[in-house]
Parts: sequence; structure tokens; C-alpha cells
Amino acid sequence: MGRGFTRVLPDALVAVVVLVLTWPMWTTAGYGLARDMVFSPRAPWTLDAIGMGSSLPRAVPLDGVLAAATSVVDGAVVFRVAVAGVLLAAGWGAHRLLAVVVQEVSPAARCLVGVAAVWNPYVVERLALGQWALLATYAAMWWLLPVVRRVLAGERRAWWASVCLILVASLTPTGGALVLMVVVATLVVVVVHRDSIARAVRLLLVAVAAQLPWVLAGVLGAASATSDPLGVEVFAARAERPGGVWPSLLTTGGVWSPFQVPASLTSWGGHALTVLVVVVLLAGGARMARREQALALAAVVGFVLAGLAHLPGGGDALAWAVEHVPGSGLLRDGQKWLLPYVVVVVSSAGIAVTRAERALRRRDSDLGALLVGAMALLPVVLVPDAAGRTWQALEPVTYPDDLTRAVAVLDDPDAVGEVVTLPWASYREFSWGNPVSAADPLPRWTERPTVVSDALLTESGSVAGEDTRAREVETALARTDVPLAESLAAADVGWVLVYADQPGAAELDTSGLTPVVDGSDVRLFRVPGADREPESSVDSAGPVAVAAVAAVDAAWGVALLGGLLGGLIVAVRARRPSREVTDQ
Amino acid sequence: MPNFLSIIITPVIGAVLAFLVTFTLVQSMSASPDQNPAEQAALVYGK
Repeated sequence: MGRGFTRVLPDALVAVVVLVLTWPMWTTAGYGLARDMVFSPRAPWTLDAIGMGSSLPRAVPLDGVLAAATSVVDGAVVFRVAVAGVLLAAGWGAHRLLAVVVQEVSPAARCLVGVAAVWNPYVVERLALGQWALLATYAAMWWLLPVVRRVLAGERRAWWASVCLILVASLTPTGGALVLMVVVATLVVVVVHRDSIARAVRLLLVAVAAQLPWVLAGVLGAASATSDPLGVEVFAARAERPGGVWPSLLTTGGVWSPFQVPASLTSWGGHALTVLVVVVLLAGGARMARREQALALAAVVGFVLAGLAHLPGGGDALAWAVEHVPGSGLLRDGQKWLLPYVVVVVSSAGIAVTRAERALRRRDSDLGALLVGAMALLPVVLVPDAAGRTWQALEPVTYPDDLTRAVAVLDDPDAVGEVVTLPWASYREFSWGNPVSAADPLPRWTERPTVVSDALLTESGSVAGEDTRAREVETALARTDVPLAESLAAADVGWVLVYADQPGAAELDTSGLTPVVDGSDVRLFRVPGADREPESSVDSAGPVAVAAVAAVDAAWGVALLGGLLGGLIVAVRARRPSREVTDQ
Repeated sequence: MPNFLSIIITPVIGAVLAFLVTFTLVQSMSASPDQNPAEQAALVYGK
């Protein structure tokens, strides 16, 4: 027991907390399918996967990474490894960062930080929204900060880990923008201190290069890079309880959708958390900001961005930017920009507890240790129903056999044409799925080009998508002068997949369509007369552009594997001579 | 940290954690579906 036990205690506690948050993943077979999260048995290698389909590259290079991973192991395994992995990495990285920031940090403080890094409103709400890839950025951030410190100090071996972590953090455009924000802040701090500027610039170049997959796809792709300004109002940060939006943001909550918010945050638990966060920031924030100045700068910028829509003129400015400036659509979901701030708050909690423990121990050492030890579970006590939210999203789904058969037909090499899914909707609540809305799994499963609705129906109205091909198909579907089969054939749609359990499915006019799979859950039809492949980015942007994007993606993947391998070798070698160098 | 402190703290943390885990599990299983006053009949993104 003793030192060995207290060394593993924070990691063990994080593992228990992650187990609680993700419990359904381990008790039910199937795949993740809830809200923005889609895992299928085998993610496809399609033009959409590299961002060169007809829609915006919102999940690039993530889709390519998933296609690579599921070509090796089944998507059900990837789902569990990915979701649990990012949460474990966040908790384990968090208390290690605290050990770098604070000298002689106690196991109790490490336990608190590890638990708080996983069990907080930001992580719970984003996980409940199915945005596990954003949490990959969050997890990487904890490990990246000490590595950046080592890189700036001139430790050449740390470059491997920095490249790997920056790439992991850049799995999505939002994650990439967040890591860029932190690296730019690092450069600003370094310039102010006139120290290691060349190394900070090289770090920035790595971070910029890590964004090339989605930036290049966005520039060369067919989708409109500007978005519907209604999204600014719809996806703005939201007050979770009486008192306005800022206290909610202060406690790392405030996600735009009310359905992901634990009920405890809407009442006394939320108010208590607000008070606690203020105390924590007062007690530990300054120390954290001094030690991690770049993170603190990024946290301030992120906090302002998160609440920008609620500042005077902020909403209008955002709406203008989203409508006119390509790529600004990233800004419309405000609360996600809190990520660096969450790291600051959680770390400050560790510093505050360490200070409290030292003060208490001067009076009574046993009492000090006990009180602080019990505080490690405070995050769970304040939001005891967090798991209720994550369980809804992480309940695995068993795909119906009809859908598996339909995918097999569509993936036949002799099949021709695009497939459209009906009834025309972007999110559905499947009778065979879990009881929350979910994105369409078909585009993340079949190799066949798929057209789905990308308009988001919200309580404030319908937020238009950017997919030009979806607009054309929507127009064809709206025609009433000809049967559905004719209008789809005229629009060069080769296949129609109907989710039979959805409202409106029974009323669809399928006369003239040839049934291929006729199941109770899914029906697949061939559209007679549509016997040519649709125009793709290979035709519109040219094969050179597509090849360039594919080459950049391949280089990204090689760099990720290289960074991972190099970082592991360096870490193993560093451990051999002395275990004491850990966390330095 | 002295050994005796670990011996004291561990059961305390373990007991509290076990209670919270049980409480959370029971509460989550018996949680009612999302209730929102502004909920619409149509399925909305995020629900």
C-alpha cells in the first residue's frame, strides 16, 4: 500500500468515474448512434470522408480516421475505445498536468482534478450531444500543455509527442481551431517574453499544417463555406438556470440544447457550482494563469467567444460573419469554445485544494487529509445525475438486419447511382435505436454516395444546410407534378432507402420504384431509369484537387502514426533510467 | 502521505463513491424522459 497505492489512486478513481459515465457501453452490445455520434460496423472510404463530397467537411479528418480504424477492427470496438479512451485520457492527463503546475501536489488534489476533468458540465453535455471527437481535443489539451512547455525549453524529443497531440486535437475543424487558438496564444506569450520565438513559430506551423485536411477540402469542395445566420441564435450558449447565461458559462455549462443538461444544474446544484467555481478561480486561478499564461489567454478568448452572441452587437456581428465569411460557421455553437477555460477551472480547483490542504494540515493533519480526500468527490456530489444524460447517448444500438442487407446491396460493385434516405430529415428517432434523436447512419456506412437532408429542425426554426446536392434533391422531392420515381430519376438519384418506422414513411409514393429490400424497418428501392453515376467532386473540382486532398490526408495519417510511435519510444526510453522523470 | 492516512482515507472515499455510484445508477435508471416546456411535437435536432 502506501506510496504505490496513492500513486495509482487518482488513475483508478478516474477509471471508476469513466465507467459510471459510460456504463451502457459495457452492458449492451451494439454501436454508438445518438445525436451527432454515428458508429457503424465499417465506416466507408468515400469522397465525403475526406471532405470532398457535396457537404461541408465538418468531420474531417475524423471520418478518414474512423474509416481506417474500422477497416482493422469492428466499429463497435472502435466506439468503446474512442469514447472511453478520450475520457480516460482527459482524467489521467489532468492530474498529471496539476503535478507539473504545483510542487508536491497531494494525491487528494490529484484525485479531485482527475474526477473534475471528466465529471463536469462541459464534458457531460458535449458527450450527451454525441460530440466525443471534441472531447478528444479536450483530452489532448491536458497532455499537450506540459509537452509544449518542454518543446519551448528546447527538448527536441518532445516534438514527437507535440505533433501527435496536435493532430489528435485536430480530428475535427472545431478541435483544430481550438488547438490553433492555444498555440497562437503560446506564440503571443513567447513574443511578449522574447523567449523561444523560433520554437513557438515552428509549433504554430505544425498546428497550421494539422488543419490542412479540412481547410483544403473546404476551399476545393463543392459545399457553400458560409452558413445560415439563424444558426447563431439557435446554437448560442444558453442559460441553464435563473441568473442568465454567464453563470452557466462560468460553471462550464451552457450548451445550446436543453436536452443535454443534467437537471441538477438547473437548480441548487448549479448555483452551488457557480459559487464553488468563483471560489476556486479566486483561490487557484491566478497561480494557474501565471504558470500557463498561454492557456489562460486562450481561456479568456474562448470564454468571450462562448458568450459573444449575448454581448451587445455580438449576435449581429456573428450572424454577419457566419453569412459572409467562409468558415465562420464554426463560431455559431458558442459553448464549445469554453474548452481552454474548462482546463483552467479544473486545474485551479486542484491548486485551491492543495492550498486548503496545506492550511488545514497546519492545524490538524488527519482532518486536513480527510476533508480534502472527501472533496475529491465533490464534482459527483454537485452533479449526481450527470450519468443520466450520458447514458441516453451512449446506449448502444443494434442495427436492423434490413439495414445491413440494404448496405450490402448498395456496396455491390455493380450498383450505380446515389442513394437518398427518406422521409427527408436530418435527425430521426429510430424505433430500433435509443430514445434520442440520431443522425442518419447510412452515410457513415455505405460506400455509395449518399444524399441526406442537412437542414436542422430546431425549436427556433429550421437552420438551412450547406449541401448543394441536398438542395437539388430536396427540390426534386418537392415536385408534385410528377410521381416520386420520375422526379428522382430526373435528378439522377439511383436508389431510395426508406426508414419505415419514421413518421410519413407510410405515406411516401413508392409507385414506380423497384423494391430491392422490403423489410419492416428499412426498405430499399431502385429508381428505374437512373443508371449513371452522379457528378462528383472528381468532375467538378477535378481529379488533381481530389488527389491533393487525399495526399494531404495520407500525410496527416502518417504524421499521426509517426508522432504516436516516436512519442511512445521516447516515453519508454525516458522511463528506463529513472522513473522519477515522469511528469517533468 | 503516511500509511495510516491512506488506510483511513481509502475506506471513506470507497464508501462515499460506492454510495454515489449506486445512487447515480438507480437515479439514472428511473429518470423520466426529457421534459421541456417548449418541446414540440416534431423531432428537433439535439433532442
